[in-house]
Amino acid sequence: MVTAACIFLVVRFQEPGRLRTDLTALLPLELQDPARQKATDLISRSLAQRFVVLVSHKDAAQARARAAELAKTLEDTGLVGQVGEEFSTDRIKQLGALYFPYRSGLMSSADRTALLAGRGQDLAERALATIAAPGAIADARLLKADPFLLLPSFLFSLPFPATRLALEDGLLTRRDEAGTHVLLPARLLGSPFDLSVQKSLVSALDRYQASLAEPERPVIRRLGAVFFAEAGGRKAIDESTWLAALALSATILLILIAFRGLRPLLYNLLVIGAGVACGLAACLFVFGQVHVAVLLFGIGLVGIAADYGFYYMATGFLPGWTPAQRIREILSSLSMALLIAVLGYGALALAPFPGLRQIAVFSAVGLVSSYLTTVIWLPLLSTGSRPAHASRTLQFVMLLSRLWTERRWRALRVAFCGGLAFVMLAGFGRISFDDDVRKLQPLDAALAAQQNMIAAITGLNLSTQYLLIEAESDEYAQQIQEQIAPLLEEWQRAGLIKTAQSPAAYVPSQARQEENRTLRREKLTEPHLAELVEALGLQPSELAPATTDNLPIATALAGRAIPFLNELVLAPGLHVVTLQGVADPERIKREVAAIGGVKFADPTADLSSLLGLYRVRALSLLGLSLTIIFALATWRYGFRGAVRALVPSLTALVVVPCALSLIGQPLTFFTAMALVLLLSFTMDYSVFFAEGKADNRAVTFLAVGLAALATVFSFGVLGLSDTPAVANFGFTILIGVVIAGLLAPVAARPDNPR
Amino acid sequence: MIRGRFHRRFVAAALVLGVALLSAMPANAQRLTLQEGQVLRGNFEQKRYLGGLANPVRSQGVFTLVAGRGLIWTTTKPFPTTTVMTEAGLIQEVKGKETLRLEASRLPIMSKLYTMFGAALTGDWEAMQGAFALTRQQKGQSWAIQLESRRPDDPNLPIKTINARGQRLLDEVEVVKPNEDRDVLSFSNQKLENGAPTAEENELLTRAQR
Repeated sequence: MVTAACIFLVVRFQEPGRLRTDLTALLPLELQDPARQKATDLISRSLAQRFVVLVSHKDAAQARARAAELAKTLEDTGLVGQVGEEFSTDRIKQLGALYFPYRSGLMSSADRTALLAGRGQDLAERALATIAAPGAIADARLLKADPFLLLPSFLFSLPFPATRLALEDGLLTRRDEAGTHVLLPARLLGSPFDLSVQKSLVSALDRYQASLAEPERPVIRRLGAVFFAEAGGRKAIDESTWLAALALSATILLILIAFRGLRPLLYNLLVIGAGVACGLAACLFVFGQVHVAVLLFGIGLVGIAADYGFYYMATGFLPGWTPAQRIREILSSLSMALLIAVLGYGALALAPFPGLRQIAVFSAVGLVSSYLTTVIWLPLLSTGSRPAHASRTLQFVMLLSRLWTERRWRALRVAFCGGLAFVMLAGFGRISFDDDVRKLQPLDAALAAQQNMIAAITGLNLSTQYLLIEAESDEYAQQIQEQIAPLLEEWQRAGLIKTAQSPAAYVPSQARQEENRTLRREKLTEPHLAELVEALGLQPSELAPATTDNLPIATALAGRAIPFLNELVLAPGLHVVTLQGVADPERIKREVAAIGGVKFADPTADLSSLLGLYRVRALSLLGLSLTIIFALATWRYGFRGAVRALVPSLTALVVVPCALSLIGQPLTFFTAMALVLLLSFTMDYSVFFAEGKADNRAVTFLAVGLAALATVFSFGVLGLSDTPAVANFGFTILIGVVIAGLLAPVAARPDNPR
Repeated sequence: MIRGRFHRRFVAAALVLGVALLSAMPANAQRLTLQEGQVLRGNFEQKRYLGGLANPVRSQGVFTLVAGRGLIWTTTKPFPTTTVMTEAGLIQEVKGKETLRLEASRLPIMSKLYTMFGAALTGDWEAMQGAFALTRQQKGQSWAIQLESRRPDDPNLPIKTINARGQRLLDEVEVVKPNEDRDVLSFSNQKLENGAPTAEENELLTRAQR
């Protein structure tokens, strides 16, 4: 069966798209919004490929020279397109060339407002004043083509993101007290999450920086997903390497001390490996794909099957028992533990959350496979010989077990329980919830500081919030944007946003262009052109009127002359209006709620909400799992026995959030998932005690002790992680397993004296 | 320090295509000593020759250059217009109503010209030589300067030649564009004064700096 599962896995993983990584795939189907998901994916991909480098030097010439060198260095890596391409003079010429033929339908919002208010005379006077003013940009060709100079006015009104940078010789530059800063905007040709791309880019930058000495050396700051991904990846690899080494060393040491050999380790790997292979294969068979988060969590859940291995191995300490006798002795314990786990976690399948359903299938099939491997294969593989140190080990374990049985340790037991009660009382009121993804996975501090400095120097706004416009066609989407444009201006005036960029601001809808043309003719050309032409000394015959064609958005997109436009139009009818400097997202969300075809999107907040939703759902299902487990335990052990069996796990589940709150940790999605795992781990301990015979209590104690310690070593070490989410997960398991492990003997039947 | 600040503040003044700046140059040294707290005032007459137009577009008026603040260019004929240029950008008013506002960050030409004319303002002709080839002539009290653009096709600096002449101060400047359009500006009654700008000038400059 395991071999068949492995072959199936190999075959299925040959096909692409089997492993999903996007978090929206974890949303319930009814909450998934394909348009929003597509928008978020496209925007994240596009944003993630962009990065900027800011070169600062007190000397302007040095700053410019170093920036030019660095741009070439970056281009020479072959990993990025032309640096600063969007701001090149060619691009500016292209922009003028794109708009010029269609000028009759293009008009700035302010000019349109003036004409609607009947202030055509103002625009005529402005044209005259502009022509006479110092440094006028208009030449005769432009005057003949656009005597009221509405096209330059439209161009100046285009909503390019507001920054403090100005273009000097093709370089985006800012001068301040600290010197000259040159911004190099670039776009990666490959994926920013490709490790080789990250490494090559970062080392190219580092090498360049290291090659410079004073006084040439500028301050080089960098910003972009690729740098955060590189730093995060490097940190994760470093951290996971030493955490894994620590966990593995501790587990090996534990097994060496307990069994004086490494065979048990291999047996456990076999048991878990079989479970993971079969669980994953079942998941792929049922769902067609599996989410990477499910895979990681499922492996953790199937990991509890190590308990079965430990229990079987511990029975090897019993004198004169054959492998067959040993497995028969613990078969009821293992079967009951399996039944409880499978039915308990089956509850997860009741939720309409794809992630939880996948976990339910993964863990159920995985645990059954691990169970079968333990029951069928371990007796065949293991030797019948009893370790020489078995007696001493069991004696030592019995000494520990007396802590729970002998009257003289009563005070210690009362103190322990009192301590737990105190933690519960003191911590319960302090439990707080926080699913903010930014706090769970903080950004690299050095890069975050550079990001803040770049934002402060350049005025670049880094928000990722936007309005998603969804309509039948581009034309309707543009019209919706034109309808909400006054609202955006109102938000700007009220300080709700700093700036906004919408496709319709760059290319008005066909209807708006027609309207503009009519407005221009009726309110400007007919009443004021003759006078203006005379004042300029032009002959009416010299005028070069524009065509009455409208600028189609498809033409603008194909020409790629308008920076960012292609990123704002995701698909026909699916447009994005980016918002910078959003001050009150909730209010914006409320205000657009009633507008058809417009949705406010805040990917970071959405992700935090998703985690919050999963947290609530996971905790609810945890309650349901407990109910099912209690019913099963009542059937097997009677009401009192069931209460005893659940006390260790339940205590751990209640105490852990209280204890975390006392050390200042909130209850997050990761805590909730750790609690789900915790129930799974700790129920095994109770079941082993509840099922185990009094004569072999020492073996049960040994098995539970080893299982608990191995879990602490495997998961508890995560508490040492620098990533709050991971540390929170580790602490939850660590505290919970220790409490439940110590309380587990409570689950033993009283007719089997402890 | 003062010179550095002065340099920065005149980002927008660049747009006058050097007219006011050159007008402030002393005759022989071509070096300006305009200090904080000084104001240069004068009259101007502009003739704008645009290819394809039979007659030049004429205008005349007064200008005020306030050290460290900006330039106020007040056209009185053919009709009243005020253009104010500061570090933050340019505003234009017709009959007291703001009809145009250009932010410095949105107009690439401003920063380019700022670099060039900022250097000219402090008499740093060597810096100008990056973009222009410079020729000087001196005849008695009269001087003439010719700046030939090294890259006349640069869209960020659409100037082919600048010809300036004067005696104690600048008398006339001609700015020739690559398409042969040209502006000819004549200056008169220039006065370098110590003192603050008037309340009205101050208000205009403040508004433009917003």
